[in-house]
Parts: sequence; C-alpha cells; structure tokens
Amino acid sequence: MLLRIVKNIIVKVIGIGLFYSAFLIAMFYIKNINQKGFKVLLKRFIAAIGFIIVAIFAIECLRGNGDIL
Amino acid sequence: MKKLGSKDRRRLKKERLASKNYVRIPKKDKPKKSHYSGKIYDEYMYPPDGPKECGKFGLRIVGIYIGILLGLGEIDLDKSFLEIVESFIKGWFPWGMSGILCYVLGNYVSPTFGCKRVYLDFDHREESYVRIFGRNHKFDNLKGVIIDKKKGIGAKLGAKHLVKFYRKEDNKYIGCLFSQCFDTQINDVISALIQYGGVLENEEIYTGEIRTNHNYTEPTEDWI
Repeated sequence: MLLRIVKNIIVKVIGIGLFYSAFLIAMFYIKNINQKGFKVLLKRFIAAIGFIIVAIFAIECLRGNGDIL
Repeated sequence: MKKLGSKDRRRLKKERLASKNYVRIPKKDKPKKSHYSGKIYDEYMYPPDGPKECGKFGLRIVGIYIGILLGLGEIDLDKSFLEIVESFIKGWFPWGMSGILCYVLGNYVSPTFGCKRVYLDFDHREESYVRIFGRNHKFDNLKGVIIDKKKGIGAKLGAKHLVKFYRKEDNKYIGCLFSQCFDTQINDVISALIQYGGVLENEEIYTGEIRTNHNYTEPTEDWI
C-alpha cells in the first residue's frame, strides 16, 4: 500500500511537470504569434502539436491512482 | 564575432582551467543584502514560478480537504479514526505531497542546475562580482560583449542573449553567460555592463545610467 502511494505521488509530480512544460510551450506559442516567416510558422506548428501530446500525457498522469507507472 | 570551432573551444577551456587568476570570496566577505539597493542585485537565483504555484496549490488542496473532513462531516461516527486517516491518505494525500515535492524541486533543486549565480553591487564597485563557470570574477577586470543569440544550443534552451566575458588587460576569454529561462538575470548583467562601459557586438560602447527594469529586447534608441 505504501509503495502504491509513493508511486501515486511520483506520477503526480511527473504530471505536474508535464503540465508546466505544456504551459511553457503555450507561452512560446503566444510569444511567437505575431512573427512572420516560414521558420517561425513551422516552429509554432510543432509547438502546437507538442502541446497537445504533452497535455495528453499530463492528464493521463494526473488522473487515476498512479496505475500507469 | 568570429564563430569558434570545437578545437578553439577546447583550447579555450584548457586556458580557462589553467588560469588561476579568479577571485575567491570567503563566506564572511560576501556582500551583505543590506548593501544592495533596488532589485537588480542577485544574491540568490530566480526560481521558475510554475512549480512554486503548484506547491501552493497542493498545500491548499490538502488544507481544504482537511477542512471538509473535519468540518463538514465526512467523518462518519461509525468509522474509526484510522479508517478516516486511511481514506484521506488514499484520496487526496498524494496531491498534496506531490504539490509540496514540486515546490521543493522548483525552488531548491532546479535552480542549482538551471542557472548561474550572479551578484552585482553597483554602489560598492569594488565588491561586485560575477560568477562565471563556477568562479567569481571582479566586474572591474572584465569586459563584456553582448551578443544577440539566435542560433546554437543556447537558443534551443531559450536563450536570447549571450554575454561573453574577456579579461580587460590581455583580452583573455573567460566565459559566457546566457539567459536560460531566467530573463531577469541576464538583463541585470547587461544593464551592469552598460553602466560599466559594456561593449556590444558591433563595438558600440554604451555608457549611462542603468534602468532597473531595463528590458534588452526593447528598442535601444532610448538607452543612452
């Protein structure tokens, strides 16, 4: 039981970290929203996809009782 | 600025390690906080705000849960005390613990990896140091070159500006600082450099008063 609780805590820490990185990606997107050019556009596109993936992982980590570890 | 190859970099590293001319500050001689004026000076590092908020949030969740548990009657009188504790630990305790862990990681662990320590003191000119590659250098003996960084590993880490430091007397390369995710810190260094007669990449020399909330990314017409 103790091990499960510890696992749960670790998973939640990872989830919070992922959420924070998702937030950072979103901030990157917002910073570059007004810039022109193909490179920036590509970066933004990658950031958007990365945001979705990271956010999905974060939610997956945060729900449940740490079963995915 | 000429771009450095890997051999050059290796040579510079060797030189840096060979030089023993750095300043070592004994703990008792470190500038005290009361000497500092304004928010420029950076005795401690800027932690990222996100994990801090997570920690506060987690603590609050635990507090609210305890409040509900005690006040609003999740306490079933048929249950024993241990059962109540067990349900608490199974349910909401991990959230609070993870919040506290995030707080600790974000405030005390990540800054040791994430950024470099800088202490500057403009009022006490002889006591201002900058810490580069683990060594304290006197600001007076240094010449800084500010470089807009758009390529390379620094840019990938989120750095926008890089300051290369050279020794004044023999133009020896000492090291560099770049803004990782801590924009304020590098801005402090840059504003200090401007006050001390900093050199920009295109050899322009900026002198003048420092702006505490100076943002390097803004247009540079009104600097001087």
